[in-house]
Amino acid sequence: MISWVHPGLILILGSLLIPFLRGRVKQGYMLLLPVLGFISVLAMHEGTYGVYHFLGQEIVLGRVDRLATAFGFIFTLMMFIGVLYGLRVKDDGHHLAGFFYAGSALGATFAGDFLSFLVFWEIMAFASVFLVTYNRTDRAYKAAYRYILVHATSGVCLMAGILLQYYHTNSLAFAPMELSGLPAILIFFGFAVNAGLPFLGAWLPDAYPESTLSGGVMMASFTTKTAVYALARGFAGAELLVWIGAIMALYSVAYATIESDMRKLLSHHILSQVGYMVAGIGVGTRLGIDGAVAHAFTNILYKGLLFMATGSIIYVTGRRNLKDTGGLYKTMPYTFILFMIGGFSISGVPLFAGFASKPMILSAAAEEHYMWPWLLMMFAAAGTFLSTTLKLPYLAFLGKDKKIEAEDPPCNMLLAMAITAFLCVLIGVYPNFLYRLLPYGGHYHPYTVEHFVWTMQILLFTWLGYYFYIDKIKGKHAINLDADWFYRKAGAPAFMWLARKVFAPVDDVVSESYKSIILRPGQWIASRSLRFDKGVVDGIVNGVANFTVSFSSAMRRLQTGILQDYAFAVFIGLLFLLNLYLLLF
Amino acid sequence: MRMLLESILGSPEKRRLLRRIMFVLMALFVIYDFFMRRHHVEFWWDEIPGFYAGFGLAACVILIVVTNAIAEMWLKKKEDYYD
Repeated sequence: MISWVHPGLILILGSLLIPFLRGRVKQGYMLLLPVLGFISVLAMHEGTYGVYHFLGQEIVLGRVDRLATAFGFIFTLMMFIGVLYGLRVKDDGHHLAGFFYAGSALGATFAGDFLSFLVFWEIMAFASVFLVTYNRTDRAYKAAYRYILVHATSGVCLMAGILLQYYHTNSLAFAPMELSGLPAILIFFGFAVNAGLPFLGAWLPDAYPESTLSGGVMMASFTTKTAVYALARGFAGAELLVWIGAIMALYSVAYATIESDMRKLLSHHILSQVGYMVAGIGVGTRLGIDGAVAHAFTNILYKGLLFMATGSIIYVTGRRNLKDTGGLYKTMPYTFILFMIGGFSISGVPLFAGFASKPMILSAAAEEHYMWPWLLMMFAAAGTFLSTTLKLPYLAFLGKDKKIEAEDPPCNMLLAMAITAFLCVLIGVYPNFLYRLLPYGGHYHPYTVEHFVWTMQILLFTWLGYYFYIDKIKGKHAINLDADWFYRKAGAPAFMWLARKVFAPVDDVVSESYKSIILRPGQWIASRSLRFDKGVVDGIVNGVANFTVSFSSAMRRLQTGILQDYAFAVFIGLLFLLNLYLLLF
Repeated sequence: MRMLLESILGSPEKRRLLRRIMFVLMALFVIYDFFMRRHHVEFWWDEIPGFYAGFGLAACVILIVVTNAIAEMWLKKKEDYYD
């Protein structure tokens, strides 16, 4: 009997059949895959599975513990919802990208060693970029290009950290680390970019609003939350994270307050919510970690719901800016109600999902006497309510009626939202449903009288503040500068210089040293590794490069060769490791 | 559903009623705070009745005023800024 089936491989390998199916069969099959993935997570027992030995190192595809399965549950669940929402998408490539993306997020989650983790981490970046480019607008192509460059940089940092770590400790195991020393800091930097820490996360509100509608729902769920998982696994209890997380929560809320593009506003809130999780991880107590995981879980649900509801507005009306919307509650009543459930959930209104998870993190911070981070996070909580649950719905659904012709979206989209909304309420009413899945069993009681009264005070009086300014807060056609200014405006020439003068020579050195290291230990092994290199790896490299070049004409216009350079650099690195195995095989 | 929503949100009287309910709720939650027994106090301000009401209001107003000021003075640019 098979003791363990990898849920990520179910999604990735299973998805390869999608292009050969048609109609209802195809739709049913796509929905079936995440269900199978969910069942495989459900059937797991704690332990270590899928172990392969290379180099005296263990490559572990299946490290199953409560931290990993909690993320496994929510990833497969959200993939089901995302597939249902995007069921009418015609592009097979889009579906494949989605399944590869979710599958590799699961792969990274269950990876017990850094090598397989890195491979899945890179697949995630490369798969998700297609969810942006399939939107097929000029803005999307450009945003996608920046997205992949940022993730390229973080991927290289992560890889360098892993290689150094290996060099120092002779171990590839992905175990808890101290946030000190170059290897750990490089690894941390790789995680930090994906988690979108302040000044490193500008890629997210840059790329997500340009993604396809269902792609955005998936992206809102997987990339940052995989990074949260990685931080929880690697850096739990690093005190610095409490501060970074709290600042991040408020910093991103501030951006959301002045944003008018609906999905961009929500993107800032993804970062803000991840800030809470990062802070919880930094606190590092049982309650802190449980809170971070619980918040990741609920955040995936309500953020998915909010992205789906705003996606529905864009799908039906073609309008994405709050300046152009208004009065939609009459024509899209169900979307309005479902959006509000998401809004109440993210704001932590009692009886909705956020009320079950956010206070865990705040209580954890309070128990460890982090007064200022706690205040920053409370401040951010009021801001979350202000922009997600007051400003956005007021300007989109209520407000001045712009007499926009609209209707509720097709039933599959409504159903996806309804399921998510149901789960948000279920967790809010019955938090133990969620707590049982948490790494430390989630011993927490959100429904105390004080907690209820104080939460209601904050929410109601935030509403009062908004009410004073209700006529002054309007949508606008404008953008707000963010940290991406450094590489989009100021840094572009500097970046090109770096690429030519620094990255390219480094690339050469790496290639050269790899050649000499590989070729030295003997003709027999060398020829063997070269054969592998030529036949398999070069094939992959060329295949990837060709695919990237040919996949869209607009993408091609943007090609400067750097993307391929990056793909090549990453594969050189992987190659380097692969060849090391072959040496001692 | 549409009819129900329109009958509530579409009529100015009902909206006014909703607003009044909000004001009454605000008052109730603050008044109750004066008599509430604290089982578990984390910070010194937890003892102050109505602290979180003031906190929420202040946070909201500060956020709106400060972020909009920063946006107007510095961050806000035309949509084609990067093109």
